[in-house]
Amino acid sequence: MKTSIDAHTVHYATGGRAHEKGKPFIVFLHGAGGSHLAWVLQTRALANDGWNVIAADMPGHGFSGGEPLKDIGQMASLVLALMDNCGARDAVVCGHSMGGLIALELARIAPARVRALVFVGASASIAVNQQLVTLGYGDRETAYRNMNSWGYGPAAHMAENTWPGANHIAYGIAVMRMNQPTALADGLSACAVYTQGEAAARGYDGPALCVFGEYDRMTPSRNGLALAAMLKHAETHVLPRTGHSIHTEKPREFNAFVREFLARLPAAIDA
Amino acid sequence: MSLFHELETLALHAGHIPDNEHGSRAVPIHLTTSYVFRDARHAAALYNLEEGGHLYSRISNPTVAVLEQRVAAMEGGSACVATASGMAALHCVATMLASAGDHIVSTAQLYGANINLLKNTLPRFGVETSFVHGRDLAGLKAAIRPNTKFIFCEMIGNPSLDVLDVDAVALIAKEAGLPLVMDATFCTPYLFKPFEHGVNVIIHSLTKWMGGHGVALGGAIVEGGNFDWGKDGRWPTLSQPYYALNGIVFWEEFGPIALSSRIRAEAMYNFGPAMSPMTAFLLLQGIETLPLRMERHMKNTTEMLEFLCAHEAVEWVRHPSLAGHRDHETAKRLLPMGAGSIITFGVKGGRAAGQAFIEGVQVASHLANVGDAKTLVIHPASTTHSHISAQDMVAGGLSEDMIRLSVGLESIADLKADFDRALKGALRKAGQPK
Repeated sequence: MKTSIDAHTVHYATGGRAHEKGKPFIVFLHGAGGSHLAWVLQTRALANDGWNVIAADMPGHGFSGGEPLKDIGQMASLVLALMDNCGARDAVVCGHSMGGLIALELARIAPARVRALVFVGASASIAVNQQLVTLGYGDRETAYRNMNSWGYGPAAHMAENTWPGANHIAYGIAVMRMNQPTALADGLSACAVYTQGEAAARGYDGPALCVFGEYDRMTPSRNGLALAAMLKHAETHVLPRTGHSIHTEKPREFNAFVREFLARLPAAIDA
Repeated sequence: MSLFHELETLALHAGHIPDNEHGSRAVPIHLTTSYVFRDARHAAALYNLEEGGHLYSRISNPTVAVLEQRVAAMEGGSACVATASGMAALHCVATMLASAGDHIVSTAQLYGANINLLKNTLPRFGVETSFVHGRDLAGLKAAIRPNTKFIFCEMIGNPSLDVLDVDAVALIAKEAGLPLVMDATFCTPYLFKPFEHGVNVIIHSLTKWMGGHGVALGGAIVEGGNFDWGKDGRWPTLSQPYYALNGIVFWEEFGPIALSSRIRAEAMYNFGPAMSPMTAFLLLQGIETLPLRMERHMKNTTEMLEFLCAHEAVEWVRHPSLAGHRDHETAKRLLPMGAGSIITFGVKGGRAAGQAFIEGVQVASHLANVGDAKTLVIHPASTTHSHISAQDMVAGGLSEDMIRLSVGLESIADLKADFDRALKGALRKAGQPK
């Protein structure tokens, strides 16, 4: 689906089902260099569970137009505008890595719009290797290779995949190549300078689900656990032998956690 | 430290992590047609492509999936679909990308069955193919039409042994906005990585070097994830809603695995060219040793070339590694690990002498295959390419006296002795001077 925000086309996946009035919303926010294609094993599942799904492509990512944003606050504002365009008064917001920072910022600037937060391979701040950012603006292919090497756990490196025939690493690199050239580096830069994460986490009073990977080399699980400790009502899972891309490496386990978490939420405002 | 595992490691491990319950180190053979659903929701989820898994072995199977993921990893592709044969793989790709009224551009130096499918079978379903010599870059470009859906090629032509300047052809495809589909059977990922040269879809006959043992037929389609199927509506099978799955648009939903997802959803489902799990297991056993075998294939090929070039009964020898080959420089540039283990040569005395040679070998086997661990010989004009017209034979680089040799892994001394005996016998029968 496509909508227009600030004169740019913004694409979002709905899990193959059109939004229906009265259904609750869940928003998926990809990590740096990603797109809605990171959430294919969540969007269709939750859409068929009865959720109105919004898996956004940030500007310059996936099928969205415009230039990549360089600021987490701007990204959060864009997500609010996207929710407005979709008629979502509030939503469960699920963020991976950089998407986790956007989710935190959303909760900080518009707490009434956030029913619950789901963090995947996320932390309150992300220390970014400046060398990687530099590569992202220059030798992009090397940056993509580094990101996807560090972004997956040992099983994914051995091409283990729940989706028959698919290869995580080549898929991840291909998704990054689909974006605007500076998308990865701009996203990483935005992560590096975002400083509101801890305040946002400590100020958030709603339910939260945190799912981390034992072998995450991008946002180590100790940083994720620190985020969980800042949240007042966090349910936390650390999946063994799993890397940074928990939702694609262990989709069955991840989806089960999400479904159990969502089932316990109070009724949505829109519902 | 390398960012990713090397080919030798992937050939042994990719796609299979021993399960926690049994710890089986070898890949288990899941000989089953179907799979018990955990509950109604699980069944619906599989049918709706909400989650990965298996519902019926015509669509996917756990053992076959290990093979698919191993080949995808070895080629650096985003996904792979295994098929019952290499020909089934080409059929699936052609029919998922092209429909009645569409057009394909192909290099002319192809395996005979590839030619047959494109030239004789697909036209009955409204898909036409223009064949152009792989070296005729201007001709390839000129053959592209508004309704062209892909360019097809083989890296090393079978049995002409022309080596394609794939970099140049990939540039033509890119400028025309078309995907380049390559049959890379003769190379295997040990000799050549097509995706690093602009190829978008790889087809393999796994029956050949990948399996290597000559006991199982199989094919593979590997998707590069490096083509925009949604840019201009030229591939409606990927960019428009599908008739099933609630009108799914494969490109929007699956991006870099859109083609393989469509192939699994439609071609495997409706045509049914599935690979059996037993076959997948056998092919996996072969792939485990691919790097070692290819090293030996190339060593024996080098020695056989020296032997044949010096033999009194041999009229001519063709292999891209020979300085006189038309594509020698291209092969040196693109195939530094070796230009494959197929050699073609002519025996003095023409067709009759060639037949006498083939009947005279004792270690080598006379049969219709290539890429086996065992050395193989055949006379293409009377067998594999017998359905090809005289004109197409010339275009495909064939001749009446051609012997196709697939160099195996035997002792090189035994091979030389076998060939020396058979060649001298052929000379005698042909009445040529010793």
